[in-house]
Amino acid sequence: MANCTECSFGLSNTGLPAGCVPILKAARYGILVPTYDSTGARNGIPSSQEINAAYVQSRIDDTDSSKRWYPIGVPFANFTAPKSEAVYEESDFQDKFFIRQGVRTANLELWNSNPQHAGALDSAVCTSISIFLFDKDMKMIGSVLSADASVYYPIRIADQSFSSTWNFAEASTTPKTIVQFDFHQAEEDANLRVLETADDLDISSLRGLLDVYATYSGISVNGVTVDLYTNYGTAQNKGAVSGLLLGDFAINELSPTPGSVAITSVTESSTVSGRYAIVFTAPATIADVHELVITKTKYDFTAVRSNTYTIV
Amino acid sequence: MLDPKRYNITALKQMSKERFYTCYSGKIFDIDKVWEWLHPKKDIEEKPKKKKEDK
Repeated sequence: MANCTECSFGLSNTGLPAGCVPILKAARYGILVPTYDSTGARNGIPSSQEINAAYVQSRIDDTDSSKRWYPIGVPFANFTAPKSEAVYEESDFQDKFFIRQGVRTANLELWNSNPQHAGALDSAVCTSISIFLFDKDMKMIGSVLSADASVYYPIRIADQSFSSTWNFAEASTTPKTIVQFDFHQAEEDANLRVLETADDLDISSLRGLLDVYATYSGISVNGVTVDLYTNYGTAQNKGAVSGLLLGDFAINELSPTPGSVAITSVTESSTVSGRYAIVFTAPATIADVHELVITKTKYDFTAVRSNTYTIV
Repeated sequence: MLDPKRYNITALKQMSKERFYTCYSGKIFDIDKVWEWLHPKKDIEEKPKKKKEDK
């Protein structure tokens, strides 16, 4: 969009190439991306990078949460993104002076959704975020900076504008999450671009990481039992994290003598899914403080690691 | 007998009998047989034989 505050700005040529021009179709999926990483650099995709399934999955599994991609995970319904009217100031002689473009507000629904997912999305209001949109043909919609086409960026979302509200199902409807956000005012329509993706990319099958939580029991000098679960499940039967193996686990002693704690075995209960009995190779000492470090794709064990336990 | 994806067999073999039974009693089915499997008599008998052959 024209920036009339630039003195050098003139009328642009309006030619169109012969043949097919990429068209932005209705958005069907979205991936949220922190606008800036922990170093303050803006997150984006180098233009030389092929956007294939492996690349997108590696971004979703990124151990650095400030660079990680967060797929919304549910297809959009009823997506609209109208732009409000431009703002002008009018003099008493009705001279019109352009102030700024209107604000583009995206509205969408996530059908058959649950309140935990809506809550996870709502945390986006607390940080500076951007979004890559995907249409039904798996074409990706991002933006470029007019001065720098070497990086494709997600579309910036105006700070504090993101909201997700979960709604109860009614007699003839499914439960829905209503999502709304404003495009950042620095995002110019003319800079939006269709980004081609590889044939193997199926965004509909991609899910974000699941947060995992831990409850400890049976803590002794010989070992510990841990229940691992996600927020998705009933209040009594939390979503168990099952199928982890010895190689997924590590333990660090945090105090009094920091160092790693060798593990002889990790066995999942045959009766309680997600319950793991861990045996230390050497006996620990009473009052040692341990952190459990688990590594497995598709999960985020940050909350488990910060939930330390003390040997008794 | 024990799944190496769940048990560090090398570490188990190095465990003392007392510690092995303390940690795994009631947790491993037929614990006596597992202990024997970890410490086969065959190995113990074979070692002196090898020494004789060397001589």
